[in-house]
Amino acid sequence: MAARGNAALQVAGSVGIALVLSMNGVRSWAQFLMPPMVLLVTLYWVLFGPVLYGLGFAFLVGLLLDLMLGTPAGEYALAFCVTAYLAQLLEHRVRHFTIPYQCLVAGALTLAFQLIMVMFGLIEAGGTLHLAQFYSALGAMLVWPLLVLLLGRLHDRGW
Amino acid sequence: MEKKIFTKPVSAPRMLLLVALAVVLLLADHYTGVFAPARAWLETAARPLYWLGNVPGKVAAWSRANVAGPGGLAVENRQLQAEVLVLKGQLQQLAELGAENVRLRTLLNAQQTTKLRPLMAELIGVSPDPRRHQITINRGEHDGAFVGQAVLDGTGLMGQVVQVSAARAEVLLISDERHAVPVRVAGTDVRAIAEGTGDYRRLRLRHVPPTLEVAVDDLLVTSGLGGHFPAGYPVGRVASVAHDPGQPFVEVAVTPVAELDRSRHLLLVFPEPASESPHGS
Repeated sequence: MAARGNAALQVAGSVGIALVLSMNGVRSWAQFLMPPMVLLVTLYWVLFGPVLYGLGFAFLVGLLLDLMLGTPAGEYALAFCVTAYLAQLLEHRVRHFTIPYQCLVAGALTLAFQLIMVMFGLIEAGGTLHLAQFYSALGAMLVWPLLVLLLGRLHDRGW
Repeated sequence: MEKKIFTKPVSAPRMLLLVALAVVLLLADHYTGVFAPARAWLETAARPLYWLGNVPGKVAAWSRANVAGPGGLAVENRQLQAEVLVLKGQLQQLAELGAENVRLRTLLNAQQTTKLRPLMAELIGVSPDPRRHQITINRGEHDGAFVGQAVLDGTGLMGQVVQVSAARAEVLLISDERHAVPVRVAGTDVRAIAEGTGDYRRLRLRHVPPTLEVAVDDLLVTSGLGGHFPAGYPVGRVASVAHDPGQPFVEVAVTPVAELDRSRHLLLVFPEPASESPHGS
């Protein structure tokens, strides 16, 4: 029971830190390279965390983001949920992948997430599609090894 | 031992159920605004996160101010003094022009313009989604901020408040694709609508007929039409005017004058009714 509480604390802490990191990100062109940190942390827990952290968890984190960022409630929730589902489909393979292959998967999943968000953007604003909107997948690939290292350390201490 | 040995059930129906729930939430939020109390509550709960997120910016500002050394500070001080002197000179001219404007408006029997009271605000967050040019400032309902309020920086119009909670407000920048602002060309008074493009350095004018007098480097200011923005604040300068003979409208690109992706200190503008007396400025 204590172990489960400890896990919850670690998950909540890591999501909180990801939230802080993404709130005051760099601006201008570099912003497009900024990976969606909250999504990556959520995907990490969906892929490597306890069984409790699945689609429902991703949905709730997305909803929290919606409410905090002022986006229509359900937008991030839907995108997180679908991306987490895609991650779960690859879960068995990803666990045995080396880090470079995992980076490719993280990039692909971020791309899928951005596609959903771009779709929302087009519905909402009827705006234009910028290629730069997908650069964050590159950022995600670069950040993933660090994330696995840091969260893996937490993870290996056990719960 | 509760480790990675567990496998999670991959359930498509569950995913579809959650997607359906998300759609219901989207519709409920759009049509009823049922999440307003939850957002207000989260705003309070998330205050420490915003504070933490703002720490790197504060440290950078502090180091710029304190690590520069006495030589750097003296130079900066001299520059600021010179700038203050220039601004004071311009202010004197403005006061005279303002008084003259009031006299002329009285002569023309025109409606009095409104005076504007600015309130300083600080940037405390930026939307992590690069598609949304939205920032968070440290002023909210407690300070009198309201939805639709104009936000400026030292050089020009930044955007407008789109969401207010107790102690902070969300500001949609003029470069966001969902934003449009009525403008006029300073000097010729030609009217147009400046729309965001999703690029911090570019706005565009929509539906500009080729006969309209717009030239490169023209300054665009808010026209005050529509009632959202006070009139006369600089919005941008015309960067290019391209006319394809096959098209009915001219493509006009505008560079915003405000530092949309850099400014940390902003001004919220409060309209105040002018006094009845034309001389009581």
